[in-house]
Amino acid sequence: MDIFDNLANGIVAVATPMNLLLLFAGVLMGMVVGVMPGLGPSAGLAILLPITFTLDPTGAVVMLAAVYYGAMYGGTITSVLINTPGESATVASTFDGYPLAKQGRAGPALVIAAVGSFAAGTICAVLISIASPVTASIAATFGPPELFLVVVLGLLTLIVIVGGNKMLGALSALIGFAIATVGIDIGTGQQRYTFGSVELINGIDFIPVAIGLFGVGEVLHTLWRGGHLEKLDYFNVSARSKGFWPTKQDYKESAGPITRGTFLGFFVGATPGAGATVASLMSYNLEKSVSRTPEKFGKGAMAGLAGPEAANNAASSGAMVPLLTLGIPGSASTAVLIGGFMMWGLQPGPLLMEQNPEFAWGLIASMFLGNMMLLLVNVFCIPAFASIARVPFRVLGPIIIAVCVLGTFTVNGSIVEVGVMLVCGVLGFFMRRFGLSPAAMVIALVLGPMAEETLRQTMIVSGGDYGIFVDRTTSLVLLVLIAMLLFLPLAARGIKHATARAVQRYGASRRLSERAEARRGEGGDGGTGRPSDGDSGGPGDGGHPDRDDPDRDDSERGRSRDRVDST
Amino acid sequence: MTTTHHIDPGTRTSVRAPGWVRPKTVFLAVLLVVLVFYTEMAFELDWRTTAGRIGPGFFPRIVGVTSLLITAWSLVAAIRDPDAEDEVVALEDEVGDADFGKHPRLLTIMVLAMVGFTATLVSLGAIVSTAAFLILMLTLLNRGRTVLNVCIAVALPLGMYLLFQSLLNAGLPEGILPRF
Repeated sequence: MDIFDNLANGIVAVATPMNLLLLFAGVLMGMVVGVMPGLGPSAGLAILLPITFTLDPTGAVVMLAAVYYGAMYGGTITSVLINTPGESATVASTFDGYPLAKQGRAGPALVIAAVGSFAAGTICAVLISIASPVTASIAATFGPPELFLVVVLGLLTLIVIVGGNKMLGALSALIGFAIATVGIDIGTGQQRYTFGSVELINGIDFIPVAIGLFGVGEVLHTLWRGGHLEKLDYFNVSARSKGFWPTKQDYKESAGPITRGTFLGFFVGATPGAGATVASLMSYNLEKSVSRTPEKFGKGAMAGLAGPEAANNAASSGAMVPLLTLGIPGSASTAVLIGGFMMWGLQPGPLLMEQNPEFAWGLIASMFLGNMMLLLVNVFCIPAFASIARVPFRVLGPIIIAVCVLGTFTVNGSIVEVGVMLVCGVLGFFMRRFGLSPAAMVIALVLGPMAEETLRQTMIVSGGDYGIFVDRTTSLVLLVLIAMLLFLPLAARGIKHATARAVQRYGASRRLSERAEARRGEGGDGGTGRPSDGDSGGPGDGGHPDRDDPDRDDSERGRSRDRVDST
Repeated sequence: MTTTHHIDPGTRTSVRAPGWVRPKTVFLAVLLVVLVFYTEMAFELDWRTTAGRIGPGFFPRIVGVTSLLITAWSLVAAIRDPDAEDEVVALEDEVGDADFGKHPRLLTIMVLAMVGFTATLVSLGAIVSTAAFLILMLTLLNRGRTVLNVCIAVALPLGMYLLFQSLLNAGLPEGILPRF
């Protein structure tokens, strides 16, 4: 009952006219950020951070969270209309979203995506309400050794699960740690890597680094790849057109994928390191495997859009659990969000829900209200957002750079920070170009001081004895998890193969049972029983090669895995 | 200024330079040098304090040595298997857009323009330096639309100034124009 009381209090705290206005503004700005190709939620959040300076902490964080999930919604519009994902988490939405638009069904595709996102967001807000207090109460028993190991675990998950080259992923995280060591050493008061500069005594601020890596770095990379030459082929969509709304069949086809995508996405998102991109691609593969009509996937299957859409929004909600309860950002976007929280003096972690319940529950409550706003804004303003998506990069690129420079300057009025931002922008370009991970670097930058501090505290507690990590049961469990994670790449092939086979068997049995039912139905109708239905592949004929050939499905899954690695 | 190339991925490898002069190798080599300096400085900091606690050099030394080892390993791998670079680029190119070639010259101009923008931000002020940056880059990228480019170059800095300075009181440099 405490949960519902806290949630009710949170809703009361958020439901002030000012906060609702901020929520609405955040949702709108997030949508705008989301529909701009090449400008994902992390860049959008980083750029918009300075706008929240004059707000009170609750209002500011509610607005930032609204920008975050608004951007996750918005990315779908470009995926469906111009076949260009606004950010990596909506890559899976292009597979069937764009083919649907080509069939003249852009309206139903976008409405179903909005409904799927709304359902996922709302269910996940309930799951967060339940999971967060439980996780926080467990995390409250953690001491410095466990917190240090949780930080290591979070970073390892990020490196092992996402990204193609794990060595370069680890290197990215280490660069983040190295940047985090600039400034005064908290333990001794000694300066490190400041080179006598007063500006660097307090360390390198997180915001210029995030704006540079995600905002400027992204623009430079798109420019280098010739984004300014791109001519956008887009589909018009109008709420007044006849086929704008989905049919009953569309809703029926989407219900299952949305439900599966929601739960899959939430648990993937709640795992530190595994984000919305992984969740959406996993959901696409899952839906294709269990579908009764897998041959429609890639050609405009509503299930192929609804599942990943629900999954990516659920994952972004799920990522709030480690963020609120452990202070561990699960993705680049949540790393920026955590930077925003810290800016307001709020330290996410096990004690947040005890010490700042009105803030934590206000944030969770804002998700319920924000999702409702997003559904309305999304459905009724689709044509307006579609027109924003048509602004070409050749105009957008310089504007984003100007906003990044001015936004960074306003943080502390420091031109040195603008310089840091530009250097990080160039670094971000090279990191993307050569397969390093800006996300891992930013997360390590946030976690670096926490890792150093908890390790220092651990050593003080143990008197310099590293045996403390194996003496305590919880830290021993975490060490075992870390060891398992390190050996995961060795076992990954076998696990993936076994999972794929299991899902495939389930899908095949669904298809067979459906065909058997169809046959019985035809027999009951007094049909002639002519072998015409054999064309569709009966239970005894081994099925259609396109549908049931395991090797074919495996190879397609393999291609999708490549996509995960590349994003 | 910029040309549109349509590069056939199959022909990429044949015209490329040997592994040790590839861009990725150069990048990793520069990173290695920076990390050598970082690690060297880390070893000048104390590993432990006189009280026996973790010193200021404890964490930087671990980070420095580990990152040096990984960078050296990656550098050797990049030299020995230069095509691995192509794989990364190809995978990135696969997501999203078509291949419009690479534009290092335009990229350099953008970076130089950003440096100029930052260098003049305080002296010329937010409005003037932003307008100058925008007009330069929009003229290069969005050719033939002079009126639109000028409108954006004037309206955006003014809007940003009004938002940050007048509305949010966040403080932007006024430079040669009077504050309003």
